[in-house]
Amino acid sequence: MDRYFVVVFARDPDAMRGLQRFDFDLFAPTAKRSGRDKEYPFSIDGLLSTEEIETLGQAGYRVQVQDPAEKRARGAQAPAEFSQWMRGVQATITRERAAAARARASAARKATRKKPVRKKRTVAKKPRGRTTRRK
Amino acid sequence: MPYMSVSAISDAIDHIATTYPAITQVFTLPEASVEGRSIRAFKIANGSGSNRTGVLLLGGTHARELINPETVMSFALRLCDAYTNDTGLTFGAKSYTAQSVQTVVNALDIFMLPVVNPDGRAFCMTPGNEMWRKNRAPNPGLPCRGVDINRNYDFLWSSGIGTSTNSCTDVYKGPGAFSEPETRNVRFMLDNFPNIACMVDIHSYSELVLYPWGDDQNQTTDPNQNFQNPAFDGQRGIVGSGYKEYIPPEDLEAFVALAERIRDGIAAVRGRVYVAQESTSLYPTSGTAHDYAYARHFVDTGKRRVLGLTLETAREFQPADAEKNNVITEVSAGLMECLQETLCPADVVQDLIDAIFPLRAMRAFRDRELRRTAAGARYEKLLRAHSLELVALAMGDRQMREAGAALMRIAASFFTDQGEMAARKIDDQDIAQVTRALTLVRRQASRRLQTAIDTALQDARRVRGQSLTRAFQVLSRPPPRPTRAASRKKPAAGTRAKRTTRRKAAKKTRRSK
Repeated sequence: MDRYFVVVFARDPDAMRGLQRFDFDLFAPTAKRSGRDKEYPFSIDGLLSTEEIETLGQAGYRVQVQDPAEKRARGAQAPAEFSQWMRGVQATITRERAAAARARASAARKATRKKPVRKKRTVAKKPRGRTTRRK
Repeated sequence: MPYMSVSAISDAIDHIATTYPAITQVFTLPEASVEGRSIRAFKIANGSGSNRTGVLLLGGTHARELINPETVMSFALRLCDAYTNDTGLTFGAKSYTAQSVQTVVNALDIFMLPVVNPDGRAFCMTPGNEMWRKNRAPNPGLPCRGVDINRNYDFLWSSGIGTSTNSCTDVYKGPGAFSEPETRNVRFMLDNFPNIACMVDIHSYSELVLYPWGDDQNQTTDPNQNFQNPAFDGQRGIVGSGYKEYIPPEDLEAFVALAERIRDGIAAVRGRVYVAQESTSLYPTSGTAHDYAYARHFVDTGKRRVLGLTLETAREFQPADAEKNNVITEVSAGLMECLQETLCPADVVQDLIDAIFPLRAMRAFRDRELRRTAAGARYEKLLRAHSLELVALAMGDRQMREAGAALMRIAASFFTDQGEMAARKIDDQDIAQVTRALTLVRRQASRRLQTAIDTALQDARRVRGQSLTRAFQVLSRPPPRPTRAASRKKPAAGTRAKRTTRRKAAKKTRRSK
């Protein structure tokens, strides 16, 4: 039986809770008020068969079909064994350690780098009391 | 990289146990799965005091949410590696210092149960069954297999809210609460490790951090409307029934603080902002793990309060490779935040000096009296903000530990052995001891903590002769202004005179020019 990832839209909170009586595979935590569709502002994701989609349509819900189940199913692809997983985690650790070391080195360089000394402007002091006039 | 098989996860547990034996301990849980697979948990901790605070991380309850057991295992391995090599942890743009890694492992018992439902996972990894959610219970006499483990806990199980009695649905709640070995194993963990103060049940998907209650909306004003009150049976989880589930305000605050901290930790990695919210939302549930874990201390008041959360990771059940790694990384940062938030300096000091303080009474005072005053709330916030540093100081230095113990002893002296408030007032000796201890801590504190201690030292002088409750009320008022007489007071001898002399002398020189 083909199943599809769907978004089910409901008109109000009562209609949302009313979905429970169908016993369909709807994902409770995805229930939200989206507000994009003013007529059907409440939505929930689910995984439904074509018959179930039809049933909901007839009951007054709007159903948006997204993907067939197989498209998002990655569980049965030859599973990773321990050594493969370990190599992946080790690579991540090495990569992040190197990044952290680089960050530390750069911070240390910044701390030790001397600030360029600015040359002070030397302004000739005017002699007090007398003023020299240009001719 | 594809997802890990059940045996690969088991090998990973063995690897962690053999590579880091000093800080890990593996347990085989008492009940095997329906198909006979052993279910294992492990603890990461350096130390074994009986007063240590515990955190429990659960993964793989729902079979198809394949990413979460790997998240738990990856986090475990990286935490052990960083601790052993005395390095920090980096999760994308979020970093943790080596000291914070050392502190959480030294101070906490971190329990992990990466695959609650191994049968479901194994079945889910066979072609055509990738979206299997439940365990593989045979359900004799019923048409379909499997029970939804996260609808099988004993929290309003019989209410039927958000569950089904139809074995062919994905939310079949089973023939009875705790009918499944998988849920009984989680209960075993909570029963046998009563130091567990926080539990995170990791699920997918929708990028949420959920806290109780799941059966109905929260309210903090009417304790009568609670899940144990049969007068409200049939009204829960129904719009317009008027029923809302009671949650003590201090617990709600603690949940919100924890959930938001996890959310912020996750967001710091690559900017995905999870939503922290109560779990009811628009679709109420019952029989869930996090509600059960939190509800236990209401049912049996002798049990410790467990802050139970559900983390809904990612934007799909089985993200593709690159996204999977990103999710694991960001959730790891969230888990690290959770560990840090659970750290309690009081627990650590108690454990280190092997003493027993009336922590329950002290916590009740904090929740019911302290937080109600502005000053108390400020101090609570300060303590929370500096808990990691305070714990690190207490663990790293004997003098600091003794200073912490002195502070705890003074605080404990305001409570009777029965856990009630003692009828005594803050006296000079208390203030002297607090000042001595805080000054000692100040010497090794960071600048931020020093500022906080300075404020505390100033405040200590204002509460002489007050009861503990009254003290925080006094501190909530602005400090008294100096009296008129005091403000009119002449400046210290010499200062004014010197200033006038200087002014006069300057005038004279100007005139002479």
